Amino acid sequence: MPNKSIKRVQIISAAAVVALILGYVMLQANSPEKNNKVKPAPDALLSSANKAGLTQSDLDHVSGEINEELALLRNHLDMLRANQQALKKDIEDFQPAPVANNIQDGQDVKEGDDIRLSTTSPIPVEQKVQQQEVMLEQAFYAQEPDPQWADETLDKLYAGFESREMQGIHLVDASCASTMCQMDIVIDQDASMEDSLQHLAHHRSWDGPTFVAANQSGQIKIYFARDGHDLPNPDTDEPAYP
Amino acid sequence: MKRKINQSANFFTSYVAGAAALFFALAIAVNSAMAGDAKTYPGSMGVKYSGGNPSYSSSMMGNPNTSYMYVDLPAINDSMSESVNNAWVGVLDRHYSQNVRCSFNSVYWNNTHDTIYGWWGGNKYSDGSSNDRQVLSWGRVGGSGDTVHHYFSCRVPATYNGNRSYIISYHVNED
Repeated sequence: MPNKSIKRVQIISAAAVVALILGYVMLQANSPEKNNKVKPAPDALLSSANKAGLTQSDLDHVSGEINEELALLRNHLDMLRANQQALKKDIEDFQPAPVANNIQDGQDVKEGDDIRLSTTSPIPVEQKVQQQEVMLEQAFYAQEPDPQWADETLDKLYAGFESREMQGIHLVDASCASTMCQMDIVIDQDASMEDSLQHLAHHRSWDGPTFVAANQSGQIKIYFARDGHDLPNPDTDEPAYP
Repeated sequence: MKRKINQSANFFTSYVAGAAALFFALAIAVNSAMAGDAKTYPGSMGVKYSGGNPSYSSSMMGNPNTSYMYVDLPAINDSMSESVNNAWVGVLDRHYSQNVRCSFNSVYWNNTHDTIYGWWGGNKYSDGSSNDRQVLSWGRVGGSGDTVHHYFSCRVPATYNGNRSYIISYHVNED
């Protein structure tokens, strides 16, 4: 019986010493000085530990475990800080995507639908170009054809590509609706895309506002508007077709 | 004593009024500067693309040759988020039948698709032949963004009977 109570006192004393050490360690960890390791326990703590029957190696073991835990916590904290920085940068760089302001969430969008894009904030040029390509295609196919104007314009277009300045630039396909035309052009393999575009810009046989996309494979897509009309433009938020 | 106090009060009132006026003027100046950006460039800033060499006079660019001269007129894009509000080219057309023709163009190179995108404004033509400056003008045109650049493409008539046609100046207004 007395042995049992001695043992209980020893356990309580050991727990108190460990609590003291932990408290000390936590204080050290929260101190303004940046410590990478827990400092050795001071003499007073050591003597208390000795009285409780704990050896130096026991204390070293506990201290080592705590240091490992602290190192893990610091790594975790560093990781959280890095993630926070990355999130902060993402928020700063965030550009809201354009929103179709006449389409409900979850509504199916089919080819040919009138999609009007909200432009409440400046749209990056890459997005704007993509929007305009979609708008142009939709606008073109939504138009009722004007056969007389289309035929006259196509004759003029094909004739224009016969000129000396258009050597190496070939009109592969062209069609006109009522206020817009589209063209597919290819350039000779040995011709320079940049030179060909320059020739086209200066010697085109049409006068209307034009949107051109020329890739490095030698393909050029062109939309142009009939005189007195404009092409659809994401800036104006209104498709140009009726 | 009372007079001295009145003088001090007057001085203080004038000082405050002057400071307020200065602040107001500064605010207007800053606001105007932010509202838009308009620049007029001399014709001599143009670059010949095709045809004979140009001639220059008073920083205008003329065509002394016997056939059309094709030039590009570069403009500075310094309002990154705004497209061009209006633009014009001032020209002298002295040929009896040929006209000056210009368009306002914007260009953007897209890395994702290795593609050149261009917005070519409608062609505008001078009318008749005279010693009067004619203005070819556009409303809102072109693309916007810091990777977009603007220029005019022009065709200048040949010299006729010793009379040269000129690009006098050109103007771009972004806001």
